[in-house]
Amino acid sequence: MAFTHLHVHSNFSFLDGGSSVQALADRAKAVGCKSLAITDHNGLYGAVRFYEYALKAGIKPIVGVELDVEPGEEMPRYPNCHPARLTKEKRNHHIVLIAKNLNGYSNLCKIVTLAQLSHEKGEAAAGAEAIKQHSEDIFCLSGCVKGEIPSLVAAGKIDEAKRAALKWIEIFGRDRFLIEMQNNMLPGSALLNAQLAELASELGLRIVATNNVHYAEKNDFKVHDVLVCVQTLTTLDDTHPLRKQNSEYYLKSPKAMANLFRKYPQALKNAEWVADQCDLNLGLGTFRFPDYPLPKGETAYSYLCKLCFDALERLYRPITPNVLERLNHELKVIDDLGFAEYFLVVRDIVQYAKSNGIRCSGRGSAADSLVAYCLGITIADPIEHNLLFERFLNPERKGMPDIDIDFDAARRDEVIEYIYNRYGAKLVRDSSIETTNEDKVAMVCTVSCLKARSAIRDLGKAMGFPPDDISRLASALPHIGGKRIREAIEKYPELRNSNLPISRMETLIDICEKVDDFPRHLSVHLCGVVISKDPLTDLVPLEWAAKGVIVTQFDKDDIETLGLVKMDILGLRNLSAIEDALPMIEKNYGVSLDIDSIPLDDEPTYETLRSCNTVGCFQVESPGMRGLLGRLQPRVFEDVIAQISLFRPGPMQADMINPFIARRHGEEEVTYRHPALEPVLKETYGVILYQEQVIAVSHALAGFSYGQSDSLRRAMTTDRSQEEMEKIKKSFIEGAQNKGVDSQVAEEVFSKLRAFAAYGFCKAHAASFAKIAFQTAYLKTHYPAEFFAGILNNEPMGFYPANVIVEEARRLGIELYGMDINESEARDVPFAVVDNNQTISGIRIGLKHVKNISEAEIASITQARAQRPFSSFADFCLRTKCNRSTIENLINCGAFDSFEVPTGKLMWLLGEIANAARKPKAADQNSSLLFDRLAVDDLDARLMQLPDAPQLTLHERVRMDYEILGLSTICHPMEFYRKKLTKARVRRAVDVREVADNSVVKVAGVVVVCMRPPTRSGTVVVFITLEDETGLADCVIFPKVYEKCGPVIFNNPALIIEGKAQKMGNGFSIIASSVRPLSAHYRTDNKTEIKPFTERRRIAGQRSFVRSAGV
Amino acid sequence: MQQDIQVILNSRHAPIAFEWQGRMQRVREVQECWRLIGAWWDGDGERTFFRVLTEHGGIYELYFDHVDSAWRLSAIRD
Repeated sequence: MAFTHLHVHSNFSFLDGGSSVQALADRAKAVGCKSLAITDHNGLYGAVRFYEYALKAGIKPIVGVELDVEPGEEMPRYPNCHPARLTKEKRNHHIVLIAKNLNGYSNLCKIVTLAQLSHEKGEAAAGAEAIKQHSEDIFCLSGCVKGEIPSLVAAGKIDEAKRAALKWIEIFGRDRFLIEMQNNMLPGSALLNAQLAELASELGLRIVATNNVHYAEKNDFKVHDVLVCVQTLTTLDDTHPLRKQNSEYYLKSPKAMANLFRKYPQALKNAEWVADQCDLNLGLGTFRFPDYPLPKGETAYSYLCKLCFDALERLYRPITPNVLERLNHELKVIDDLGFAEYFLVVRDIVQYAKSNGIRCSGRGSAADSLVAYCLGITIADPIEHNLLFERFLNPERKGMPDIDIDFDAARRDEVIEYIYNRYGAKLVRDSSIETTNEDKVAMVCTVSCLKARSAIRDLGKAMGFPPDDISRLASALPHIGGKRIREAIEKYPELRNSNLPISRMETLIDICEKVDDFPRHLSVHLCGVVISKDPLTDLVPLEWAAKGVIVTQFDKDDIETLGLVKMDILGLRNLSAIEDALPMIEKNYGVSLDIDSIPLDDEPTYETLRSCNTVGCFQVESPGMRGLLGRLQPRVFEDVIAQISLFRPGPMQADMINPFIARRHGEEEVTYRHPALEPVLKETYGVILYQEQVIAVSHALAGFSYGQSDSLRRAMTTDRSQEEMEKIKKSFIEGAQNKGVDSQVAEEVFSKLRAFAAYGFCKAHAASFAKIAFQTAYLKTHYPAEFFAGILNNEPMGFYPANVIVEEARRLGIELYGMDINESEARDVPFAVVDNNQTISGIRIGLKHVKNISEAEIASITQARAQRPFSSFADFCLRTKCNRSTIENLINCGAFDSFEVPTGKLMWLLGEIANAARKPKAADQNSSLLFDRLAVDDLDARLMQLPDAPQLTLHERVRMDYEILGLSTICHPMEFYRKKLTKARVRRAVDVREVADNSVVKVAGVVVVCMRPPTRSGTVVVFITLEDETGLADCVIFPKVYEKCGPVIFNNPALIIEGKAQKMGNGFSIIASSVRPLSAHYRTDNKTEIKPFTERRRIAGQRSFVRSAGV
Repeated sequence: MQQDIQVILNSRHAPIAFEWQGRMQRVREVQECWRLIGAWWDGDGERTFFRVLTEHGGIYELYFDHVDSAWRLSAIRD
């Protein structure tokens, strides 16, 4: 017999579903169901992917929701308890709503949105009135045992149950309100079903059978059980009402359901009847672009043309036929695909940012477009860099255009605010429900999924493992999926030998594998904003995110599937750093620098790049990038673009770096397999490096149009059957033969393209990034103090923490000034002073670095100081509103050192003041937080009376700096180890560079980078960067050494590494033969024994700095 | 009360008779059937319970333990 499951939870019921929508659809198909509903808790989260997958699987998709419903005043579930004191589970009732068609689906979106937005996050519940307002084309089932009617019946309140049923009948009518019956083989199910059937009969309602499915297969019960423990913050040994008592909540076959409902065959037929009535068509495949307010008399296309041609005149002088032809071509494609409005919207947003001084830059394949360049969306000239439009927009493939834009991270919210104001209704938490339903803009959600680390952490806790052991294991795991935990434990020595019980551990890993990629919770996407023409809730349910922002219940992929426009408004802190540095440069040097117009042939900047001293520079600061810079030795901007494209997993795994560099330096002959390839591959010396080149090669050799070529490239990047690939190959070779190319040559080129297509890099993206990389390198070269201050003020960013940036600044001769209560501003401030005709640059560390200091406390300090400087510690205490721990931190990081009072005395006095402050205050006093009723003179006098306390050693001071500020302006911690390390023949990083190739050296330092990137062979190679007071030392640890030293590497903050020095161009690394921890045995705490170091370093031809560092 | 018993089943795997204290008890009616799972993480499995009315008028709760495939009598209700 036919049967459709109408009450089914997928893993989008967030920790209350043990199977994915795909697994459920597959199971439904396997047991012979023709249709299937998904009804997750209070959301349609999985609806779009379920709809798409089910259609492909040949299952009719039915979309619904199991909704929390606010208890009516007349029928609370726990009448003797105030609702506010009840948990959500106890307070609300459940009902199941199912969309009959698109209108019903739209209404579901609205009901869910109302339920979500009218309550705090995680507390969604719909009122009967909201449901009534949007009840059209929706079926309503009375729900599980938590439903209003079943729970009243189970409690013996039959009359109340009837009254409740009448309320729902009034909303949905007798045709669309059904009494739901479940038989999950629990004690009491039989009696409850009999009573429900009787009630339905009395009221003339249909009964309908469901199984309240929570997982696809019976065996998935364990997965569900552990997930519920995670959700309820319990362990398996605890009891909780949300845990199921048996494993009967799986997707049963129609036959099994018939067996369970032998007494109620009509309930089974009615399930099928409901399914037959449902016919949802989401209308996928159409674009829903937002409206752009056009000037009078213009169409989107005409206005776009006008803007582009205006810009063309400005950007290209003289305009060449080539440029003109290219623009006309792009405009035609954009018009044919109907994307003119989209471009105008993007341009409008960029325009807003620029006119308000918000730095921005388009990234990704959009830079392939001359239109995007003319509109000011992208910064790289597509003509100059030979970028191919079809990589961005393929006229033969109507895909949603994707323009991602980086904005100054510090001001990104202003851009989002603008989008809300311009294209949608502004929403705030207390906005009315009506406004909410009309909104056309929302942030896109991201579905945070369980991966290896999070799964071990969450599930391990639920399974009762000791938290410390679980945390240690989770932290040591690489960022991989749950399915690869076993593989990782086998592969990485530091993961072995955990003390966890083996059999239980096996169960944990089994379950982690099963929940791999399961949705864990919803959060705000880093940058996605959806802009719609019509109210969003016609198609998308909305809810609150944790930050008090409204987000869609669909992620970016689902949003695109629905044809809605999603824009990535990315926040790039490097842009903020640039933006911060510019006014400081103007202030210190009187130079108004137009960073977008700096010369791209600035030789000192290339010197910096070639020297590999690129810490802090966008995209080129990682150890691998620095090593590659040393080998590639960039001399022109195209080299920088190539540099950014080469250091990617694909080119590395395909071993493209070596031939490229050899040809770049003329060490290997540049050859082309066919003369037609020369114009296309000349810029990369015959090596295919960019995705755009795959398109150009197909065009040049096989005569494909650019559109066809892009389709070929895309086909090669996705998994294809052998048969499909043969078809593609055949057409390529035929095309080449038609152009007179030898079939063997064509075949060879095709194989290369195929091997390359999967990992090639988009040149347009690389060109956009290369420009920002060059800008940061330029600033570092010419204005290092301002550059580093900009970086530090926008941390965390890039590859390194603040302490590494500070050390780099120190090594480059920038004076670092520590925390001073009368000098430090909120942020780090660079300055330049002229001394003996030499410009000395420095940075004063800002108050924001102090651990746990609040913005209010910083404001309190700067405001009090603006009136007059602090005259003493007591004066500070009485005129600011800082709490005790903040003042302690300020004392310990030396903020009061200028008063020349020992730290111990200040701490003592602070204790006394705090004790005095504990005494009751007069009600009308409104002065300092801690220090009412005290006078500065009294406190200063008391300070003089205090006995001398022992001073901190210098080592303790530096350690305090690291604890409180995360960095130290005094010296690098390795300076305390240097004396004994030198005796032990351990070299400084700067000296290691001077040794001969292949010499055996020892180096010691703080681990600032430790990673295990994928390698071509699949073996594990660890890359470590050690930092000492003189610089960075990059080390490589191959499997044999790693196997022995894995736990040492990952469990120690500082290491001594011995190995062979290896030089490649300017690049340098140590191939480790042994690794051991840097023990305290090497440390010297006494400051007099620390030898200061002096270093002269020339920064790429600009200025010289002399520094007598340290102590 | 946890006593091993012998049970005769019908084609739907429901008891139609069982032997207890040396006497065969014929089942007149299965009043209810339910299933519960124990501490699966400690090796416990599922149990299917049957509340049956015998021809002698006694009400018994029997269960089938899926881990060791054994039938047991868990309660007698009059």
